[in-house]
Amino acid sequence: MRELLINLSSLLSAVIPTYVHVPLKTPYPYITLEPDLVLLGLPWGPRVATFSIKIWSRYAGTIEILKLAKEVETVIQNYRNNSLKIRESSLELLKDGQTRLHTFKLKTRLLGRPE
Amino acid sequence: MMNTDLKLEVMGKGDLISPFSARECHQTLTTIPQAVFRRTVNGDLKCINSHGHQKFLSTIRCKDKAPPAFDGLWKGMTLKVGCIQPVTQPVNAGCLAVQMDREGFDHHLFDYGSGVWPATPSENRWMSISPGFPGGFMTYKPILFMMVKNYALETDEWGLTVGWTLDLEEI
Repeated sequence: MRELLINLSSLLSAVIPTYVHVPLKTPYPYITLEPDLVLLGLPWGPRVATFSIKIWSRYAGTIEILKLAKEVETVIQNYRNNSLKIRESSLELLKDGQTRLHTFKLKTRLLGRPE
Repeated sequence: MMNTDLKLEVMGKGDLISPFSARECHQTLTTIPQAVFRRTVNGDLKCINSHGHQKFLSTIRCKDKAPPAFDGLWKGMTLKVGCIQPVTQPVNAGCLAVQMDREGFDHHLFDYGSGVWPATPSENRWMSISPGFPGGFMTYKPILFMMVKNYALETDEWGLTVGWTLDLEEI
């Protein structure tokens, strides 16, 4: 999972800054990677992981976040190390009325032994 | 990009699994309904079967984003199927080799405590086992030559999903 996050972080950073842990006072827009669950079936077997890619934007309107979402989706579809299945994609305006959040919920199958 | 361990190969044409077509597959393996059960005059149950009729039926189904390359695939065609359904056999303590029932891949030898042990493939489906193995199990995914019995494709256009089902019988 760690390797996946590092690789994805590297690729998504070409779109906008990407973090697993967001530093204080980070300017918008940015992406966060949020691991959710890793299921290990067997000691030697593949693992199934679920995680989210979240795009945070404070642009006045949706054009920025939709454009970024499209670029992120392209990165997801072209990712070669693992197949990343998009389970859900959503866009919401947070309660502060200024921040938009685009969430991709993803599922993948990780080969090799656990890190 | 590794979608699945499943292989569906038409001999000479290649694998039918296209990208985004076989994530989260399900496979069943069952025996063909060939054996006949009869009771003797004493009431003992006997199975009238021959070794040559010990074959598998399989159904593989999936719901993903794209269809596999089934164009040109028809009933009666033969596929080399790398199964995702593993089969497992017990291995006694001290055993130095075991023979798999079928060709296979992704072999794993493990003891009763689920510790993994090395096993080396040798000829004719035999696997060599390290001395000192305390007993446990050998598991692997079989490679079967199977005939297409039927298949179905199903698209949910606005749900952006494609489902498929493939019914197979071992030749």
